[in-house]
Amino acid sequence: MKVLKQIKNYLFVFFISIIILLITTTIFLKSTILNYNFVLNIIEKDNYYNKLYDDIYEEMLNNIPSSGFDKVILENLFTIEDLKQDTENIIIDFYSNEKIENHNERLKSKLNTNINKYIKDNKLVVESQNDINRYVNIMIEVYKKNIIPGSVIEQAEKSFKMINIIVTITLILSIISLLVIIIYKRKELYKSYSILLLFTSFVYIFIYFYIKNHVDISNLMFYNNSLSSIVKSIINNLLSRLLIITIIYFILSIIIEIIIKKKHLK
Amino acid sequence: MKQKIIDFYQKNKEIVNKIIISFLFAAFFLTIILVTSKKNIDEYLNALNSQAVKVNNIDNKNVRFDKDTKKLLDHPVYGSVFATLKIPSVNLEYPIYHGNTLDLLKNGIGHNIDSFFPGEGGSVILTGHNNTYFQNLYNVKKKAIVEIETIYGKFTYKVYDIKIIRDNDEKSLSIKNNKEVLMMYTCYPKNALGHSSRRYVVYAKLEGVDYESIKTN
Repeated sequence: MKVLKQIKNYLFVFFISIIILLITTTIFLKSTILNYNFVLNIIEKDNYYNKLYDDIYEEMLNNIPSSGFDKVILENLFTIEDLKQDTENIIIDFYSNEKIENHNERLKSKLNTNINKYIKDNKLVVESQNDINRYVNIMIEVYKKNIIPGSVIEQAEKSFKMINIIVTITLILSIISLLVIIIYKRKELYKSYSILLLFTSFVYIFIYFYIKNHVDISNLMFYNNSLSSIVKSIINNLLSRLLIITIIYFILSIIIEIIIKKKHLK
Repeated sequence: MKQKIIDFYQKNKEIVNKIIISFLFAAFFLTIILVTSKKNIDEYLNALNSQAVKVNNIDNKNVRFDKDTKKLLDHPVYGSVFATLKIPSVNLEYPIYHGNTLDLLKNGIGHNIDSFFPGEGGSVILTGHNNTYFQNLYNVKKKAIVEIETIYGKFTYKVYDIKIIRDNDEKSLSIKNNKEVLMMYTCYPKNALGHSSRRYVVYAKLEGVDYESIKTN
């Protein structure tokens, strides 16, 4: 009978440990990848806009030799500030579902002006305006796809809404369950606080090493150098946060144990 | 030492037990997760890993040609120079890069990665810009000799056809595996502005292989 009671007690603690893990994980997700400020902060720190400017300019430059134009048509086409604004708009749009205009039209008009000036200055003959229009569209596409590639947004948008709903529901249910348990079973829980935190700590450290060993983070390559650098920064940032939570929970559980022990001795 | 461990355990029995219990809980929980969802987890991680780019070879030292099977035993590294194109009649002599992306075409002639390598018995496709490395391609006449000096041997071709095609004409630039045809193309016309929709294609068939200069196994 005593053994049965003990097993029941362990199962109860195990169940609450999972609730603590779920609460920690959902808050972790909500404050990181589900929060656009987190992404924007990383982008800002990573010097992303300067790298992106170089990536786009270089790709546009690669399109110059086959066009019959000179690189002067790229002068003052866009600025780092334009890139920053467009990137922020796309990210906020992605998180909030608001449609915000970007600089594509302005870029198109500026490129057309530069091309027309180049043709006039060099007294060139345009054989096909259609070829020039196609070229302008290719250049605009270079700009658009480099800021945040459309396919990345499409893929992420599909799962993002679903993940957000699941995380919110899980968080609410977990907090309600925890409150109910604290109200009714507070005394039984008293001696198990450290186990609850240590459990999350062990699960997180496992996830940390599992990802570190199974994902080749340093060689990841998405579309261009600047986007790859952001993805790597986000993954590394998430992993270091996991490690910090692991350490904090471990230290907290030891402190709790010391306090309990001292109270017990008194 | 053993006694010290026992003393430490006796002194901190409760916390050590709790660490063990929570470790076992975590192990049990993770085992359940891995048993039930390992396939899905691995799928996600593999999808992420498929984006990892690893550069294994930094040179073309391992490139070897087997003249019996007419196959390259190790392909040149993507983005590296593996050959030189020579068309003596129009003074054209430039390096050939494996790959034909725009950043490679800035530096020389590009080899389509889906096409065959010289000597392999299939279509070999080379691309270049009409205002840089392939500006003399327009002057190449039928019966002109084209030489490709690769790092594994020298191949000689003779021009037999020249065509102007639309950029969506896949048939004229299709890759065949039963006949070695060299296809060199560039944009048309020469001074076209913008994104030209026509291509100037020069076709040449294999005439000879210099086996003396081929490093075989």
